Amino acid sequence: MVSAPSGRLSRALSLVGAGLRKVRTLALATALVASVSALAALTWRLSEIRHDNGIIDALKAGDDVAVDPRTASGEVLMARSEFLLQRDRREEAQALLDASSSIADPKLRARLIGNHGNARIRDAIAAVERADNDKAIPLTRLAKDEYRLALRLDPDAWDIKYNFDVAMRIVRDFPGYEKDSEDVPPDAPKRLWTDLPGVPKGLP
Amino acid sequence: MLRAVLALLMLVALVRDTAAEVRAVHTVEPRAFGYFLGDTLVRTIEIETGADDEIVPASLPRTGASNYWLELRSIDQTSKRHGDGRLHTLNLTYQAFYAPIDPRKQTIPATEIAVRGPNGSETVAIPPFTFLMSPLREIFPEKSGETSETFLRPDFPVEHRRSGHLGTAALLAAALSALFLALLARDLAWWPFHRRPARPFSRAVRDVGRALALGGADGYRAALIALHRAFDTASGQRLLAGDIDVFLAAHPEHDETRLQVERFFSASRSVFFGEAQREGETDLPPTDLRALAAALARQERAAR
Repeated sequence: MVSAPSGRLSRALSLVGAGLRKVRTLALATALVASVSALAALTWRLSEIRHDNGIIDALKAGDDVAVDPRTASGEVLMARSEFLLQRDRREEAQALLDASSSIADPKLRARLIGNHGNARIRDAIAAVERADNDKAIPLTRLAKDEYRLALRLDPDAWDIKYNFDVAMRIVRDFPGYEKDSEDVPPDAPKRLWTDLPGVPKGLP
Repeated sequence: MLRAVLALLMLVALVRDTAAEVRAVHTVEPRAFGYFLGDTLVRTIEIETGADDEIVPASLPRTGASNYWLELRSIDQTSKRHGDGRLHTLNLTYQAFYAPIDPRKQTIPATEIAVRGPNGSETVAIPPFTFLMSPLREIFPEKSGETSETFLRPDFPVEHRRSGHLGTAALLAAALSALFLALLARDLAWWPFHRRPARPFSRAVRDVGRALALGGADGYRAALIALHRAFDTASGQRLLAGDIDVFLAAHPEHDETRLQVERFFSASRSVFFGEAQREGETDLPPTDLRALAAALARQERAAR
């Protein structure tokens, strides 16, 4: 009584086994083709990454490696943009920034744009210290636009928030500062940072 | 008199039909404090309406800049059945770009959303939301020794591309490829499994092909011998024409090629013991011999 169902089961199992053996060669060949093509694709991507990291190292070391913004990866664009910003090649850097919309990772793009904003703010601070407001105001406005764009992409980027706050205070200070700029001694810009208005009037 | 009552009734009906049926409005607000420059906040608005009512898309607040410091980043709208009505859920994501110098209350202004029913529409008032924004920096950073050199946080560093799990995945793919290649080689009795006892016919396919490639009577004889060896190995003893029935009973997988096997044995007999010394004089041409070996190998693989 017990052997009848188990006999049926073993018959069923042997049928399944026979069916599997019939397709075994084809199944193994298919699996081999699939795994070899996966291996090829992965190796290709790894070699691409290694190549990109080589370019990044060269740019860090100061080699002027040209980069095509349409095809380069985000990390390479970031390295190229830093290279250009550090050497004050602002027009090329701006062209790169305009092409950065191809970067898929929003956090990486936010960093790239944030670094551009930082470069402008550093220029603006230098202009303020020279009492060159005509230059400082538009630079700060551009930086603020860039910080805003960066924060839209990555609302949790604390360093960008912090530097955006710095930029906000530079332009807010100007209306009060501009009025009496004529009778301020050359070392006056130092006071700029302390003369913060209690009530901000007129925001961008 | 009757006419007046009728007119009144029609008027009442008209009034009742003009509006969509908004049953309840509920707003779920986020915390009202602890926001910095660039922070996002999500307001959820739930509107319960009649079954056929819908929110007028054009009445929703527009995404983008609401005013100089506030942007509406996105609106996620869902709608589902709720009892005998519908529950519309709106998730409004705002981002605040206000840089306060001291903690300061900011207000997202009130707005109205239109709900359209089969007979008309009704507006829903969304209340304003006031929250406290805090500064990130001191009012006078210089007092604690900061200079224009230290005002800014440093630039983001340039980083390498990360390969993540690609390396592990590539190793896994390599291991799998090796495994499948080994299994396939074993199945087809390729090197180093070419002497596998369970695959005599797979080996015979290669030997027969090689022998026939030599051509001539010697090649044909060698091919016949190779297939004989395979039959011997498969049956575990020297197999003669008279043993075919016993062999096929023990190896039922080869039963469907019985006719060809019998032709092979008769051809072999006529070649080795008869007058038909030349390959063309047997009734088993070389192409059929090769096909028979391949068929036997295929049956053998399917069986074990």
